[in-house]
Amino acid sequence: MTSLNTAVSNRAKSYDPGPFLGALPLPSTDASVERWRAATRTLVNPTPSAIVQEVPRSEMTIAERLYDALATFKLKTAMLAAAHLDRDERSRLFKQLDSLLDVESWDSTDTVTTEASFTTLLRMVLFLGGRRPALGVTAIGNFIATWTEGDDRLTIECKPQDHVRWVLLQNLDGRRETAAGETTTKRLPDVLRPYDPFARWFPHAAN
Amino acid sequence: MCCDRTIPLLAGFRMPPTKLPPEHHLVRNVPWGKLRKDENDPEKVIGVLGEAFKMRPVEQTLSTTWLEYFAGTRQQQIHGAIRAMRASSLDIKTKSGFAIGNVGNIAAAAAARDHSIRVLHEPVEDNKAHVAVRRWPREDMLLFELLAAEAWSELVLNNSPDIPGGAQPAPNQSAWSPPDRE
Repeated sequence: MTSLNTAVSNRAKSYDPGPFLGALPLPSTDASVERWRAATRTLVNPTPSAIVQEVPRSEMTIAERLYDALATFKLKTAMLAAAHLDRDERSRLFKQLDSLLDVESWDSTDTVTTEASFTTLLRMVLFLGGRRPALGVTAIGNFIATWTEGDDRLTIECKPQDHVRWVLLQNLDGRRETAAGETTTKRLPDVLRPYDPFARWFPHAAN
Repeated sequence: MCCDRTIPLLAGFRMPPTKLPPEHHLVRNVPWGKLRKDENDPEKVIGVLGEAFKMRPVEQTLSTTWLEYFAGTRQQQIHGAIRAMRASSLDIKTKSGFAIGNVGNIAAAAAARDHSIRVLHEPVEDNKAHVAVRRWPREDMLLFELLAAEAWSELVLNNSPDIPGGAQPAPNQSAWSPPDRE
């Protein structure tokens, strides 16, 4: 019968590599033995300063949070959209993000935009195709995508989990027409279809 | 007469807040992230987002500043209101803007969406020209977007060369007084 070894290793005890340590040569002099032991001690029992500690989010400055968010969004773009956005489009998006999340312009009372909202934005933009939107933010950490054509405007708030809230204002034969709703990115072309935004904004999403 | 019939105001007694006339105007600070930008140039501002008129989670009423509180021409009133907001505790950034809207038109747009708002002068310590818009809806994306497109769409940028720099608290007294007090 096989029994499991459940004994907890003693971390205070120096690690003894035994007679063989992979392909590495074993120390040959006393001095090198001491250097080797010291290095092993640091690895097995690291001092507090040797441990990289993650700063709790609540203790981060607004500049640090904006920097982290920007890095996350750009990484996400590289992961999700590398095959769909060419170099110019990626550069355009990054410029928009840099401008929007600039610490010198950021409203300190706003929640920093979230990765969940950015994922929805990115998926929506890739799904809709056509003209890329301008960007804004909400106070609670969501991205806003906007398209403007004269007095006509389409505004979409990107919420987590592919949910979107949209508002459309357009002039039809000199009369103002408005519509608003909440749906998912996948349903957006169908929901907007009565307002025929495809010719102007999403020519690739109509089919 | 043995007694003075004037009743002295007790400490802490407040006059009822002044209701703003419909022909007057409100100014609301719009942070950079809530300005509408050109799709091809993220630095080019083309208007205001409806989000600018949504109350922040900490706000109980929509905070604005009363334009006609300040003396002078309309341009001087705008300068006065902006300088007063800069002097307040608001975090006004260089690239932010100020949206100006007519009280009557804002109230009409809200009424069309079944919101009966009240626009009251409620001075606060750091802004004597502060106006609280009460009964303002927390959620109505369509109303906010309509305001941004029409009734509250006039925009002045904080870094506009036409706007002088500097900050100055609003005076203690309004330059405007109601007709019955004139």
